[in-house]
Amino acid sequence: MQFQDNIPIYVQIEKYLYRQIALGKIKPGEKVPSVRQLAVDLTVNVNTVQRALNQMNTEGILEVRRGLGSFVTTDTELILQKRRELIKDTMSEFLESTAQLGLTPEKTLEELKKFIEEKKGD
Amino acid sequence: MTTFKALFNQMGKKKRRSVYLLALLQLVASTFALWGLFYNGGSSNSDKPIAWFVMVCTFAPLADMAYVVLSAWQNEKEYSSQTWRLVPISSSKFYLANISSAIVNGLYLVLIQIGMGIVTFLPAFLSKDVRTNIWKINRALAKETHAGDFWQKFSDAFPIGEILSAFLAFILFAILVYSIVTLLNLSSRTITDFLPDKHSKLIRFVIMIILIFIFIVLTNNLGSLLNQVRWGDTTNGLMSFIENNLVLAFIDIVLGSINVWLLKNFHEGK
Amino acid sequence: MNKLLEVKELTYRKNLKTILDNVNLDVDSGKIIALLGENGAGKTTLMRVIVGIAKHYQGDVLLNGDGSEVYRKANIAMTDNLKGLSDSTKIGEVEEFYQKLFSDFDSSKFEQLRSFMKLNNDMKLGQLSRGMREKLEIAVTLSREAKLYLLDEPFSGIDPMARKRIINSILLWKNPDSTIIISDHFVNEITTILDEVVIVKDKKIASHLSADDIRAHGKSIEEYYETLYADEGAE
Repeated sequence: MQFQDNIPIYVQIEKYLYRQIALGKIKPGEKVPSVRQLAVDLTVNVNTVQRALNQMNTEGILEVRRGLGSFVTTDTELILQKRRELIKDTMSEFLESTAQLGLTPEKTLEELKKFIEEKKGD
Repeated sequence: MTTFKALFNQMGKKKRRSVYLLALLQLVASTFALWGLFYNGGSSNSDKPIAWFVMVCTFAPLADMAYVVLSAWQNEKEYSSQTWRLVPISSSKFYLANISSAIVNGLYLVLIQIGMGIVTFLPAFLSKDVRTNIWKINRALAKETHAGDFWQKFSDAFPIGEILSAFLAFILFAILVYSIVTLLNLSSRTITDFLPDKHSKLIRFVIMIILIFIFIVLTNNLGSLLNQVRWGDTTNGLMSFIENNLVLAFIDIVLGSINVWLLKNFHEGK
Repeated sequence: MNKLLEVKELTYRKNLKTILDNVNLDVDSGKIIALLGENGAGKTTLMRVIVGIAKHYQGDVLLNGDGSEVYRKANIAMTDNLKGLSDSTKIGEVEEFYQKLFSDFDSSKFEQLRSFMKLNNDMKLGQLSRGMREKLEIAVTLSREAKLYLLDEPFSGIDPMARKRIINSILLWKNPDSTIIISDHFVNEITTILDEVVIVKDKKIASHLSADDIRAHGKSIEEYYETLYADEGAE
């Protein structure tokens, strides 16, 4: 995965894992790859991964079991909530980009509808 | 921490390679010289059986001198090399390992040369002249020496005390040679480190000359001083040997201490 | 976090020039740290003082509170250009050299790293390209079980693909308690693996920050490094 240079890596790792969980790639109750494995997969520092996991542990989305590793919570409500947050995040990022192009949210919606129709036509 | 033995072995490795190379060169050179001699017909028939032996003996001092130069150069390279200086060992052990590995391998070269001498002398036994000559010398020696018991004869032929002292003197002298080379290298480099780095090579050369000059003056003065304070009867061979060895050992220790001090506090590997 | 290395009021002069001027640096165990600075800023000298090769400095250098040179050399692994070994030395002999002289050298680790770096035991030092030689230097250094690793511009001759693989190998093989300091004069693909960034400028440590703290201010490490040096130009 590619990291953005100007956002703390641990924040980006959190986001990455949330996405994995929200997309169901890591299921509720399932074990998250080990810290070391994640570090190697993402080419980041072990301490940075640890920091991200600790953060997620305090938020309750992960459960760190000593000596066993980190597990995704079985609280599906919490996961759904995270999923909604993720959708909101994506939306606001999208709106930010369109705003930079001079589109109001209403205009954006109009353009989006048009775009979707065109895509269907393809 | 690295042991002295491990460092000694690694430092000796390269020097041992020089030993083998030089011994081989000596053998090849003497064989070529022998071949040249026979080819030109420059030797009488009676000389032929011992010619090879003579050639080997002629080239031996050259090989020995080449070894001293090579090993001294290798020593200095190791003092100035970061690769070697990163080894976790005290400066004194580093210094001792370097010098002793040079000397042990030098003795090894001498041993190989003695071996070569013996082997190349073997053809001589084919000649009747040589055999009778050896026999005559043997008889003459037997007559001259004491008629006493075996031990007496043995110690007359081989004065152990003197041989050991001579051997020790040789070792101490070798240490002295290596110490002087090292002192010149380390001190000149240390002095240049405290001077601007412009023309550092030229400056180092000048410093080297000055140091050599100081050294010569110092040894002269020290020599005459020692002559004045000489003690005991110097006509006795063994006594003078012991005396000289004590002086040599003292100089070796002084130079060695200075070198270790320079290595520990100033001289850096690159 | 244990304090691993302390550099206190370090000043180093050579040839009448001040190279390091009153440097202070504290490093904890278990970190990966970049030591950034322009060529000639004093990064190499700082590393050489830390490991115990550069002498006659003022100030203290303590590893686990111990300032002895032999202790530092025994517990710090620094990349070396291997110039003390002749060009005819085979890689197998280089391994033997380190295995005999460094008690913390792990031959099986070296074997793994060696094959990972695609180096052959029969290759001679004189035959190696610059990149291969650097790979060997890294392999030899990382094969030691040291408390502190000092990698002095280790990647300059290595292509970006191989760099990535080597950085991955560092992550894979690094002992959690050991610290790695990597020096470089520009910011490259190592940034994602960093805990901390130390910037050397004007013979001093100009900045020592956590990498994510820099990013938390909306700046990439590269931008931060460049602005720090740009200030200098404006003066």
